[in-house]
Amino acid sequence: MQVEGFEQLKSWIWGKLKGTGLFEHHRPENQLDCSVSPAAENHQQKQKDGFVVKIKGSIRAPKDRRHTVAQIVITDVTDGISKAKPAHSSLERWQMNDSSVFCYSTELGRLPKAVTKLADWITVAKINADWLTLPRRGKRDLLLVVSILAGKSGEKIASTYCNFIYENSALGYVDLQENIEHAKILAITLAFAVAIADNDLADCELELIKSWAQTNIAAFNESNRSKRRLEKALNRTVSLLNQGRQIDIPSVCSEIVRIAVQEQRRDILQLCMYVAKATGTVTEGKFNTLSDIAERLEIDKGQFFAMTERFLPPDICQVKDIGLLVGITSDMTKDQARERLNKQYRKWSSRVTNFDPEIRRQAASMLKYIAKARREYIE
Amino acid sequence: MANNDSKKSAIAGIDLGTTFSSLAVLNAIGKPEIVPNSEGERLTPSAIFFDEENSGVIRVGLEAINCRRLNPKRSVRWVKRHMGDASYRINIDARDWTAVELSALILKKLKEDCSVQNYRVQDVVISVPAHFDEVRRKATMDAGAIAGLNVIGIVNEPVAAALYYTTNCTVFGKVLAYDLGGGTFDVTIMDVKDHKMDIICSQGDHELGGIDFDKKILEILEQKYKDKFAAELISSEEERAKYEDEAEDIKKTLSRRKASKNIIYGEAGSMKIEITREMFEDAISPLISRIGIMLEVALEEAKLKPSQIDKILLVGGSSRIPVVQQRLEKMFGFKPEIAVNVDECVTLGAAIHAGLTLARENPDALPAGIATGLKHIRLTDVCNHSYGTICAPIDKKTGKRVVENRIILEKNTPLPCQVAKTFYTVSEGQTELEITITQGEDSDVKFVNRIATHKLKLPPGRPAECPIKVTYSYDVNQRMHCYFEDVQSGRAVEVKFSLDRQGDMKQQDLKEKAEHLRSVKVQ
Repeated sequence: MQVEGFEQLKSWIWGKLKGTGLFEHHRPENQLDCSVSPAAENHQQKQKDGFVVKIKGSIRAPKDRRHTVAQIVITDVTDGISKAKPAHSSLERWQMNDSSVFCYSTELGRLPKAVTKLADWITVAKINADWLTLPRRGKRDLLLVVSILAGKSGEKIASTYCNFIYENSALGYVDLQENIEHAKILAITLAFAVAIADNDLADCELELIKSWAQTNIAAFNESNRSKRRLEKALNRTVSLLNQGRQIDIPSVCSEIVRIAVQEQRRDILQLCMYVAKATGTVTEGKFNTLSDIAERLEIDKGQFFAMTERFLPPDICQVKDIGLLVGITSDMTKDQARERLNKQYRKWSSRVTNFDPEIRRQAASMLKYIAKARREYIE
Repeated sequence: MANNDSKKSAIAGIDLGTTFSSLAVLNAIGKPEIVPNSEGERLTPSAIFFDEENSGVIRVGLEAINCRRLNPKRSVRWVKRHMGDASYRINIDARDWTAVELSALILKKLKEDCSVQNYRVQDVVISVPAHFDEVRRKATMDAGAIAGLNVIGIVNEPVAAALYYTTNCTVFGKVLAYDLGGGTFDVTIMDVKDHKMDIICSQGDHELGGIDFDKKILEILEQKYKDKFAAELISSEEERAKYEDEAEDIKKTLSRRKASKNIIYGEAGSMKIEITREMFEDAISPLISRIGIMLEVALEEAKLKPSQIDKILLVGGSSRIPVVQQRLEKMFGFKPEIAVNVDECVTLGAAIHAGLTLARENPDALPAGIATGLKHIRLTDVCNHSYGTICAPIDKKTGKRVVENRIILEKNTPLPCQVAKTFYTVSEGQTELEITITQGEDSDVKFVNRIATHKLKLPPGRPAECPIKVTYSYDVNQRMHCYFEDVQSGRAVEVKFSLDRQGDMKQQDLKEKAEHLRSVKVQ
């Protein structure tokens, strides 16, 4: 079945509202209206937010008189039609071809007459709000377009639209994208915090941070101006740090927790780990900073430990507290520590014969640390 | 020397150890007997010396140990630790020797010394640590082939030791074989009912053995010397070789006495050093801790508590260290068993294993007396490692496709075994499937070894999610077979398991190296 791309749709709406273009091609007998009313549904004892879409008016049947399909798309026009943005859907079923644009589709069946007149409002869809991802959170002006298509050819035989206001409590995809970009800037701040944990910013650390920014921050690729601005900001940060300016790790982490999902927080910690090992040695100061950041980013201890294991080879970590390297925490009982160490031993002893000499070295170091930790915590 | 025809053909077992090696043959009634070397010793040091004055002669054994102090650059020890490591090379007289070739020299010495005793070694089983992976096992077999031996199998050292124990002593119940050798440590737990042995699990550590204890003593010597003279004790390779031997002697003394008194002669002066057992035990405590963990891990894998173990069999020279035995007694609540010679039981068991292998594979070739002697012995071994394949499932949390290792044949599965799992093609129109056979316990592909890779061509024009049946089987001779089948088309790839990574040697290479070794005189 054919569906319209969002750009086509936007152009149609634009044309229609201006009273030009596509709308004029519609036959007078295809006068169709639609309405949207809120609907609340009880689902597993939870009130589910949604809308009921109804249509009224006349529809001319397709030439083959075969079945018809109603298609609904929703566009956020809060900032005007020229800046309209489509509603998205995370459900594959309600996505437009090859995109995440929301497109609800339902069979209307065979129209009884050549021109079918709907005298009363007929419900064509009940749309759950959680099927939709709007561009932004807050009060949104939404434009709902209902199209009636010939089932076989996909030809549009009637269409209508209406506006409605919706209070969106969820973060929009534009909000999310902005948060992601903002979190990346904050990630750089944390990376600097790790780099200067020993009061010295090494060239290789700075290079790594810059290179990460160039690859990951969208503004770097938008325009030369944006790029220059970002580079200037980075250089300014370096200059401030060299003057002894401190980074407020708790505040930065708290902001990241507010705006970034767990997966992005782990990516941020990963960047910090790469910076920590850039000089070839992870000092105790850097390791402790990483540990602090992980805790503040609400990355659980098991996850943090798994990441240190993956990204920080133990032989480059100058850490006095062996427990940190082998995943023993102060709140563990002796039995839990024993269980943890045995699990670690089982894992690393199977890696000592790895084809990669680097992994073999890492495994040999880990086995030594595990034995040391056993003496320290258990024996 | 008698000619080959007049010699008795023998079924043999070889313990190719890190520090010592030995060979045993089965006698006419299927009992294993150690064959002494040409110097009359039952154990041959696994040491090699390339004679500088006579380049056609390579000395192996005691003579090599003695020469090592004079010219350590032309001597090699502890080669077993490098088995399967493709990067390991010893360059002597502009020729690179690999770990496999060096091991072959030791095996050749054992074989030729056996010949002096009027035996012609025919079929042989070589023992390896239980934790040796496929690469190292194959490398060991290659070494045997280069030495001119017909290697009919490989046996895990603790299993070999237990085989010998169970055929010589009355053993019942859950038995833990504790094999602390010169360079490796293995634990095997088995269920023994008279002459029937079912292996439950094995665990091993390839960097834990007598030489690691020696190193600790050497560290004490060096530190004490430095404390007194503010100078280094060791300033040359020759001195290192000398003090390594001295450290080994001190370790052995400390197993008999509470202290060892020695005089050491360094460049800054000589001094009398007393090393007590307590000092030694303190120095080796990290290694003892490691042993403790491994025991616990083995018990966990066997789903047993220490109190459920009925007997501990000690194997390997380092098991003589008092603190090792004390720790075992403390952990299990009873003394470990030292019923047979801990240095020889692996070799003797390997010979029994050779007889059992021949009885299974080629019963007609087995002399009747030996067949009768072995007929009551039943051994069920396990798969020593996990084997899997690399696949790309969708992560349930993120919804993204991830690449991971999926284990098909789990470690400690009793042999013979066969396991099948179904996977699915990833994309529409997929015409090829990359097949990877892995060895390792991790789901993270970074940490597993890819031991073979192949490609399976698929029919065009099909949707995604077509089933691929993967079957792994492992036979009693520790040979693995992998079968990847596209269920719809019936197209399949049978992976004839060959090691094409490190440690691998092509047949032609093997022949060339065997040819070269034939021209070398080993004494």
